[in-house]
Amino acid sequence: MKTKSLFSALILHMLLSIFLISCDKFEFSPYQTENRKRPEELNLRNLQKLKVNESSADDTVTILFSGDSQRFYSSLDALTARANTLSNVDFFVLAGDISDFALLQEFLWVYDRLQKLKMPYFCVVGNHDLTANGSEIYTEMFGPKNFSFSFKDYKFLFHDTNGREYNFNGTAPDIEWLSEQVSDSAKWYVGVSHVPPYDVDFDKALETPYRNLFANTPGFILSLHGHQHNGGDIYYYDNNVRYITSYAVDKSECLLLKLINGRVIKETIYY
Amino acid sequence: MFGQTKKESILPMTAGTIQFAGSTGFLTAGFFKGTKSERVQVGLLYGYTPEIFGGHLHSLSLKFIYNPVRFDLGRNFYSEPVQAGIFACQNFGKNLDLTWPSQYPSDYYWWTASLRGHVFLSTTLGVRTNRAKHIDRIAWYFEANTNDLYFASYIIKNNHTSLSLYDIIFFGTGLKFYFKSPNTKE
Repeated sequence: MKTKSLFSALILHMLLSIFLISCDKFEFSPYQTENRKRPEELNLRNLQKLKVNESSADDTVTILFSGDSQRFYSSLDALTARANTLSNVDFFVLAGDISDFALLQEFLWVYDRLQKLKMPYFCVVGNHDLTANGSEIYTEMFGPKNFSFSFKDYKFLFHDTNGREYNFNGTAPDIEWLSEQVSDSAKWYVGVSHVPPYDVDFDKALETPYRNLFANTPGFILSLHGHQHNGGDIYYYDNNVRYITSYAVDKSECLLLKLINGRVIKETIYY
Repeated sequence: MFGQTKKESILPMTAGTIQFAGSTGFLTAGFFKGTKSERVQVGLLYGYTPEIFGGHLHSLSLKFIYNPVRFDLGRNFYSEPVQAGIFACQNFGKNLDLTWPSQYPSDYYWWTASLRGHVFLSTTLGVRTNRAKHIDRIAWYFEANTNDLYFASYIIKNNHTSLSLYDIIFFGTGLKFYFKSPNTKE
């Protein structure tokens, strides 16, 4: 009988342990795609937050722009703290590579920090985010990899340009989706994606139709990217489309972009 | 592999295990062989995570345990307060490649695609099952582990000021069934 009661004690310990599932510290796999803490549809939720302020009389759109937060948690803390000292920023854009290894925990660590921002934020998918199970995690947490929204006079096209992750199979970027998005006669268009079209990780077969689509779309003024970590700013194809790449989060610099009647005024913010 | 001789086996201890969580699967099962003193154990484990818990994922792990001390707690209970060890876990899933696919130049991504290295600490509470036919002891253990990529996240760029060690540590718990053998300790 004594053995039986001791055995029962062990079973009790097991049940107690299983009860502790709820604390999310019981990891099934680094590659699991969900747990109880994982949020959903963050880009949509932030769009709803953004739309609350759309009726403002001011037609200027102010964006705080950074990218490649991959593993730079301490720097991301500094960035969010600095961002919250800025006034009149409409939204924050993270230009991909949210994670380094595309693990759920990394996405959650970044989410914990972005949630501290006072302003809405939008994250586009980067190449690192698409390794392992990252595509599924990104889609569940943030929403579709290609999405667009209009704010004031501007239409923003967030899209996947990580061609190498698809073995350059002609699906990223999705030219057909982009063509549909620029056919609605918005006043101004802004593209947001991770890999710029002149980078070796962009699908070379799609570079010409991609840049031509932007160049031939009236009002397409700006294409924002990450990946290169360098804060580049260039009219790369000698047309009206300006290509700006973000600093990586660890560079302690990000860009404040003011869009005023189709003009882009850039300011560097240090943190 | 663990051949026994009539004189004395190097690894006479045999145990089966079933584990909940612990970064190798929602449920993981396997077996261990250990030295006569049971200070050193080596195990082979299979883990599975169903879709409802973020899978489908499978894993195979090779685990080494160092178990330095044991204290008897009365006649039937005993405690092994701390074990330390490592395990290599090969993860399998529809999006997990054994090696990086050919579209990447060499060293494009520096980490191994789906093979993770883990370190762990655990604690064990056991009970002797005197009247069971094949089972000598049953032990409950609680384990904390981290892996190479979480550790790489912790150490880079002053991240220790942002992430805590607790952030990169994850738990598992399980039961271990020690089978009776000629060399089983009483």
